[in-house]
Amino acid sequence: MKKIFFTLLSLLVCDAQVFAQNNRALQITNRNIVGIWQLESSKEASGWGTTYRFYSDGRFIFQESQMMAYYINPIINFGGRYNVKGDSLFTRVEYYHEKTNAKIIRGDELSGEWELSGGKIIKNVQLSVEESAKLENISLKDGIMTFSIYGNKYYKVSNSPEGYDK
Amino acid sequence: MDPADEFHSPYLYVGNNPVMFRDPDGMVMTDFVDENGKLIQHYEDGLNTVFKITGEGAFKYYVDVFDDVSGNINFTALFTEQQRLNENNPNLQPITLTNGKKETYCNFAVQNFLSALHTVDPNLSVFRGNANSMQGKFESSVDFQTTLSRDVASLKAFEGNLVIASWKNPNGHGHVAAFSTYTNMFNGEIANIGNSNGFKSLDASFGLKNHPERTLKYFIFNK
Repeated sequence: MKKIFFTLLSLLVCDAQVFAQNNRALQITNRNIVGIWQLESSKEASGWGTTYRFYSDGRFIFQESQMMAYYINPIINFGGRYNVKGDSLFTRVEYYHEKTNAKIIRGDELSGEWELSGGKIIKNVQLSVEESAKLENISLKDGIMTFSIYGNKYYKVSNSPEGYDK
Repeated sequence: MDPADEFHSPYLYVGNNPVMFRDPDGMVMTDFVDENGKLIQHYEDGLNTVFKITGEGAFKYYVDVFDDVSGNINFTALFTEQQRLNENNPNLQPITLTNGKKETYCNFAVQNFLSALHTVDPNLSVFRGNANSMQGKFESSVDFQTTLSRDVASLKAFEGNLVIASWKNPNGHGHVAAFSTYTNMFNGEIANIGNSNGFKSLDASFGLKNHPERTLKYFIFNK
C-alpha cells in the first residue's frame, strides 16, 4: 500500500514539474521573441502578411501586409525599439515609411482592386514615449509559437528577422 | 487483342471500360487517378505509367506510383495534368483573413510541380519560399535553365515543357506561375494561381498592363 502511495505521489510530482516547465517555456522573452511573427497565418504564402520583425539588438519593425490592401495603404512600415518585461511588450516607435505623391489607379492581378502607383517612399521620424501591450494566449503547437496582442494572433514563422528580405 | 498485356486478360478490351477508354492499337497508356484510384485522365502514349494524387490542402500533386519498364515518363502529360489539378484545388484559392487582407498561393502551386517531379526522380529538389524568394532558387537550380525571351518560354511550354515565369518585386509581393503546357495553352498562356485563379494571359497574370516596366525571368525544366 505504502509502495503504491509513493509511486502515485512521485508520478504526481513529475507531472507537476513537467506542467511547470511547459508553462515556463511558454513565456515570451527578449530571446525567443527574435524572429518574424506573422498575423493570423503560419503559412509562407506568395507574399508576407502583416508582420512584426524583432531583432536581437532591440530593434523592431512592424510591416504592413504585402498582400492586396498594402497597395492602397500609404504607410508601409514603422519601427523603433522594443523590450519584453514580464508579460508585456514595451515599444517605442521612432520612425515610419510612407508612400507620398502616388496616384490611385485601378489595380491588376497582383495588386487587387485599386493600387497606389508611382510616388516615392519617405522616412518620417517620430518622437514617441514608451508604450506597452500585454502578450496574451501564448502557445506552442506543432512547433509554432503564437501570441496575441489586442486580440490579434501572431505566428512565429522564422527565427531570423533578416530572412524577411530573402 | 491487348498486345501489351495491360489488363488481366488479353481479350479484355480497354479493361472492359470502353466508355472511358479508347485503345485502337492495343498499346498501353499513362493514367492519372485520384486518391481513390478513380481515373481522371489517360493518355495513349505507349507507356505504362500511373500517376496518383497525393498530399493535402494546397499541396496536392501527382505521384508516380507505377513506372513503365522503359523508365520513360510522359512529362508533357504530367505537367498538363498538374496544372489542371492546381486550378481545381479549392485550397489554392485566395483566402481573406479576418483583417481583410488576402493570402494567395502562387508559390504553392509552383512547388507542387517540383513535388511531382521529385517523385519521378528523387534527385530533383523541391524548394520552398514565397514568390520573391522562389526566383533566386530557380536561378541557382541545376534542374532549370534561364531564358529572358518570352517567345522562347511560351513556345517551349506549348511543346510540352515545364516553364516557370517569375517576377521579383523589390518593394513587396512578387509572383510566380507556370506557362500553360501543351493543350492548356489554348485556355490561356499562364496557368495562374493568385488573386484570381485560371488560365489567362501573361500580361494579366503579372499585371504588365499597368506595369510594363516589370522584368520577368523564365525558367525551363531540363528533362
